[in-house]
Amino acid sequence: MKDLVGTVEFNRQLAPRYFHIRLRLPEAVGVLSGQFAMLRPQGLVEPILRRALAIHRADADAVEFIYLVLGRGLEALTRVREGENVDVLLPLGNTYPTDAVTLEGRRALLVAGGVGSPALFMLAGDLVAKGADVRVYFGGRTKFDLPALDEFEALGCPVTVTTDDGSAGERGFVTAPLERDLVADAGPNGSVIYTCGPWPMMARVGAIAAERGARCFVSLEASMACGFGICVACVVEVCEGSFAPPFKYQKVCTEGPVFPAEAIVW
Amino acid sequence: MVSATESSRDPRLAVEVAGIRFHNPILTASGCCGYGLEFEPLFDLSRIGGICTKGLSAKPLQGNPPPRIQETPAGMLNAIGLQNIGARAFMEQKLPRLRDYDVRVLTNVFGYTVDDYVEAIHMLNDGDGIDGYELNISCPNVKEGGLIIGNDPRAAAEVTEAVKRVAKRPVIVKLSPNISDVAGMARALESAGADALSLINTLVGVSIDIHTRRPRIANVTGGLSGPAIRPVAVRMVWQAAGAVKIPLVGIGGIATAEDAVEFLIAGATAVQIGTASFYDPLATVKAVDGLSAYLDKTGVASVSELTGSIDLSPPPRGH
Repeated sequence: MKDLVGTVEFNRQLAPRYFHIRLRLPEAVGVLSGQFAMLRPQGLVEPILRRALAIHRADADAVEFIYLVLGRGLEALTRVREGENVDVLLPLGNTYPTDAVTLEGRRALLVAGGVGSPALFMLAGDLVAKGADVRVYFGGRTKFDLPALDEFEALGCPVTVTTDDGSAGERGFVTAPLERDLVADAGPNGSVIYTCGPWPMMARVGAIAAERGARCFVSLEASMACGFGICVACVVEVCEGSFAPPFKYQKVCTEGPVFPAEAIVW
Repeated sequence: MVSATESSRDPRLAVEVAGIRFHNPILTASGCCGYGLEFEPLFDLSRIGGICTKGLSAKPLQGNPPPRIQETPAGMLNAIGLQNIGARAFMEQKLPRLRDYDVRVLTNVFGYTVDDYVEAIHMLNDGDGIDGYELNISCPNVKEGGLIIGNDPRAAAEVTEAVKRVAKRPVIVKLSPNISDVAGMARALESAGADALSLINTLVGVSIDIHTRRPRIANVTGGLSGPAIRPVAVRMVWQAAGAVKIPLVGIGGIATAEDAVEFLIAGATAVQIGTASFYDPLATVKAVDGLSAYLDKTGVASVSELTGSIDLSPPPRGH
């Protein structure tokens, strides 16, 4: 974890309310898939708190983020221009367990919902690079809610697209093709599911995984002030027995953001 | 990481509060620094004056259900609910590692009843490497009549006296700002034996989502912190300074050395930085360096000269 000043290389709009930012870092930082950062335009007075964003891409000395503008914090980030500075604390959080895919040869099913997709992009790239069997299921409300779909497609793995309104791909929820494929492919080798998206989507994906005996890891989002464990705000309720007692609330920032789906009280 | 040595320190920053020597007046605030060790990857803990831990209770506490925070103008509301590992686990798991650093450790202590406080203090008395206690008396439940300890000078004094009887270390009592008579509360605590006072804790607030009409925090009410509360905190430090002789530790929206200096001038001997560490994790060490720079620039000999130096003479004409 380092607190660095990143310099904006680009900060461009992808779709209504979606932006893509790339920051040049003053030093090399090792980033694992699933990790995140806390960002704030340098010198910003208000709002005070940094915003947590999943790391979409990481080179040796640069990181990229894709973000959906939901409030005044990320609204402020949209106004940062090329050459300007952003305070960035990174890398934060844990990573996805992938041994079952890379060592045991299980198929990886990545289920992305809207702006949850950046949290899965590095994982997809890593697994494809290692020769794993990767399939991506990408759902959005409309065709405008599929940020960086082209980047997933460029990886060369199969990408199944759904939208709630049918404006792109199959009409309906992303869980429909996922369930269909799991039924068709429920072989002895099984699959490992990785998902990030809206809470109800992840809950449904976790339930489908449990029904089909697939392992499932979820990347969670929560309101957080710090990102490194001192505010104790970003907690999620976990099932008894999934973590060492006494706590039923675990911090998304340091114990997550990746959790086994069965550990979460949905 | 190389630990800060005595020679690398600025002797002009040294202060003493409640008999505890701090090599500078910048402390972390309880609830905004975990157990201190969370900052290990970011800076050498020996560079700051002290660490005031997250509130510890005799037994572990689960805390409140989420959502626990909401950002507000120049601040935030929180209702964490004092989730903590308990005094025993703190001493076993955290304290030994804190002893690796030359930094004073204050354990913030929290309870629902007088007996809870006494039980926690009894446990912590055995901890090697604890320099003092800070009593969090802003909790909403006590044994008799549901009074809020921190709002009632008699209840607050009762807790302070009970803790002072068993505490083997200095006791700093942290004031709630949700009171009308700061001076009266400060005097009551001084009479009860408090070695110092720290102020302020958070201001109670509510934030409502106008679309769902639901409170934005599961606990409904939360504590307001951050730069928004700074003037309230400076006012209360100034009022307390006029009422008691024991030293004061200023808390409330401090983010920079300049903010810290404002509290010293109002009457504080040391300060705690809280919410600022959330958005600027290096805020404490930056403030230490900033205090040295302030002394260089102004020619003031030491930070202790600033304490209580507020100038209340009429402002010059034209202002």
